[in-house]
Amino acid sequence: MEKNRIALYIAIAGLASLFIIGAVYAQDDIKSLKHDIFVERERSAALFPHVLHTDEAEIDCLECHHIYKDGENVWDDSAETECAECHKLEADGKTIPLMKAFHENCKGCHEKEGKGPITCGECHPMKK
Amino acid sequence: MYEFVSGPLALISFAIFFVGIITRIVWYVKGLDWRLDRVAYSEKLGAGIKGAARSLFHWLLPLNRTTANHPIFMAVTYLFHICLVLTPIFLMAHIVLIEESWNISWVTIPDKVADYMTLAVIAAGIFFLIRRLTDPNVKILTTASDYIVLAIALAPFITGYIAYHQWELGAGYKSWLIIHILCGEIMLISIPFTKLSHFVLFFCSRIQLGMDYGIKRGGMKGRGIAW
Amino acid sequence: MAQEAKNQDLPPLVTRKAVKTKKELDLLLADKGIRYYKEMEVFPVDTAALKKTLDATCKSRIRTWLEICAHCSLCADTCFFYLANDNDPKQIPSYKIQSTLGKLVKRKGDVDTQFMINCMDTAWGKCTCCNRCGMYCPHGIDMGVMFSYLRGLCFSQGFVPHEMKIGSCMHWLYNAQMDVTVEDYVETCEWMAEENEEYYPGLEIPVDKVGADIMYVVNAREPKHYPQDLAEAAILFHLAGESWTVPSKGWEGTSLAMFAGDWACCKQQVEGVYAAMERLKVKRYVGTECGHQHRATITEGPYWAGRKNGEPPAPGFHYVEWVLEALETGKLKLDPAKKIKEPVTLQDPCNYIRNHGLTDVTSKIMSYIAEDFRPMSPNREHNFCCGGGGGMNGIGRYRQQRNIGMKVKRDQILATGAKFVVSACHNCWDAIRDLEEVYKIGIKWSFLKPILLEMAIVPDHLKPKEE
Repeated sequence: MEKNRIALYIAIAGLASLFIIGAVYAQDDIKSLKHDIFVERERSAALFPHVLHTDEAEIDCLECHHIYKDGENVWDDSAETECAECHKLEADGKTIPLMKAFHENCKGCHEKEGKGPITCGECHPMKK
Repeated sequence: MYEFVSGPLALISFAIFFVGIITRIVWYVKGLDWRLDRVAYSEKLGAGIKGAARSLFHWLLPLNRTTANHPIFMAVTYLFHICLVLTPIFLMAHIVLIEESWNISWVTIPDKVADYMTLAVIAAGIFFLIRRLTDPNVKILTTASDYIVLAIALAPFITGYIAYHQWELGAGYKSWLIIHILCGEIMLISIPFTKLSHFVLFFCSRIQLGMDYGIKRGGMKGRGIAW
Repeated sequence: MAQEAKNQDLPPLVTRKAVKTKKELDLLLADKGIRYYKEMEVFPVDTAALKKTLDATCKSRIRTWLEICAHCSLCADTCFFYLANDNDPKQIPSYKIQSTLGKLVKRKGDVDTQFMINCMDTAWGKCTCCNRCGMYCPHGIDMGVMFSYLRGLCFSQGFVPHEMKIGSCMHWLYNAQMDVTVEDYVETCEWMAEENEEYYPGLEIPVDKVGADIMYVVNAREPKHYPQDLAEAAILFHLAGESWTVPSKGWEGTSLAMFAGDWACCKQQVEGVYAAMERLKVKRYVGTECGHQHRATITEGPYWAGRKNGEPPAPGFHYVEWVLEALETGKLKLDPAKKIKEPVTLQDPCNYIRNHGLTDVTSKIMSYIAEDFRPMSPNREHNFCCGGGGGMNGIGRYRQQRNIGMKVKRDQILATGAKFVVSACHNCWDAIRDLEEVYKIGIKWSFLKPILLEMAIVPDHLKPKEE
């Protein structure tokens, strides 16, 4: 009996710790690229573990974040980080439409580096 | 693997498909012979075009007596062909890939609609299969190639459905996606070389018979007959 | 053994060449098909020649038809043989063509004697080339056209029904489907004109009148067996005040050679008629009440003769077209009081409907001659073959098949409730006569001419002078 009870506590503690770790991790990670301008989405918002890209893959912020002035990327921490501020739903002649921007940026890099997902469903999982 | 099947292999498949069907059309037209076929194709081109247009009009639309006599079978057939052709051409996922590769794109149908159209193709295919297995009239005509051709036509839709819904089914999403692309490529490559060539030869045959009736078999007399 | 030795002394009846001499013809006629089919059982196939013919003549149209057939069976219920044989799958047009021509093409002509006999029995015994199936195939596959082509292949290999071999020979020898010479024909014309002149003063059957409006061309059966038909045609032209003539050479328009698949003979036959058109400088051609004559001379003939525009030298009309024109313009007036009172139905022949688009002509004529016209269902271009087309009526080997096939026409006639069948075609006329003989449904049948003559109003100036 005693053994079983201990096992149960351990199990509960284990599960709880998973949630705690997850919550801590999530605090400063963006999990998906959910943008409100996609009113009628065909697919679920793309999964995007930010920390994985910054901390583990150690990709420079400027690889993705950008504000161009005279052909130079002048983005820094204090600048706008919301993609949809500049990239709109439809092409406006100035910036690439948002969906295309994501596809080119994410998939393009994954293909070039030979790392990360490139098929539709790997980024856009079916809502179960 | 994904990069290979969606890249070079796709290009090769499209090349074989386009060169193949153009070759079939050229071979068909070159093989027409006014003396052997007994149709004055070039001398009576005007009447021939009228007859051909009439033939296509009555058969691309359900305005023919075969549809009236066999409404269920013909309804399934029309649905099957419409969905089979339109779904892959206007599917968003396909257009996204095409746009990324060649920077061209066109309108898409909502995924939800495409989903139902895919199910319609599969259901119609199963209907054809059951009919082939049970109807004595169809049974006597059926050869192994009829099953193979049906399988080639249905495979991209069945695997596409599995991949889109990301069902695991043993292999997992990515494998199913690769299988789906391969099935599509097999279909493209098969079109010029199998009965699936009716993709273009249907039009050739209908136009030819339409011209035959338009020129020789009374198209220039009476009210004209629709075939 | 003794029998075989005896047979070896006789010249062979089955040959790959068309028979063109009187001596060979007499042998064939005397045989009645008994030795003929026995010889055929062991007659070898010249596979090299067959392959050569296929390579030269089986082009993209037929190869595509054979290849893209979806094996869907939609053609099944379009064929009267399928319906008459209790929906026997072996009678599906697609099955019939795939198991014969389809295999022949796949094997590139490498087939044996039994295979060719099966081809013959299918091409002549299970298809009348009525072209109905082709109208219902979603892919536009015309199996009637392919069977006609197969007949040509069979003929070139000697696998042709006895009567068809004789038929083509008749055309080679007499330029007619029967042993009627030009002299016989001209004599019959004179005789018929004389016979009837008493009742129709001034009646003549002008032979070889250059510059006439109409050149009238008959079916050899008419001078040979029904000379009255020729007289009726003459009287109707006479009453309508037509300028017309019949040619001496080139007087016959039918073509058993077409049924036989002897294309060289078809060419010779129509060229005789075309030469007559050109010699007599006529404005147009009118053929008698015969379906396949119209198809052979007007629809297919120009191509056999190598006429690139697909037209005969003078525009070709079927007899029903002339009748309707005469009735509509008032050249020929009928007494409405004499209209047929009892229900009447119409057998429209495939060869001028599905092969020349004359879908409504005869139906319109019916409104002039019948008070209670009951069209068959289906009708016009969807009408069924009478059951005796494509040479079927004349072939003894397939008599049983034909009699079964006629059930569809029998039921169509019965469904109308009419006991009187009009047909402007010799083959249909024969089939309906035989149908009555086999099934005894109590019907009468007639060509248009006797009916029209019965009702025609004779203008005063053409009436015989009272004594």
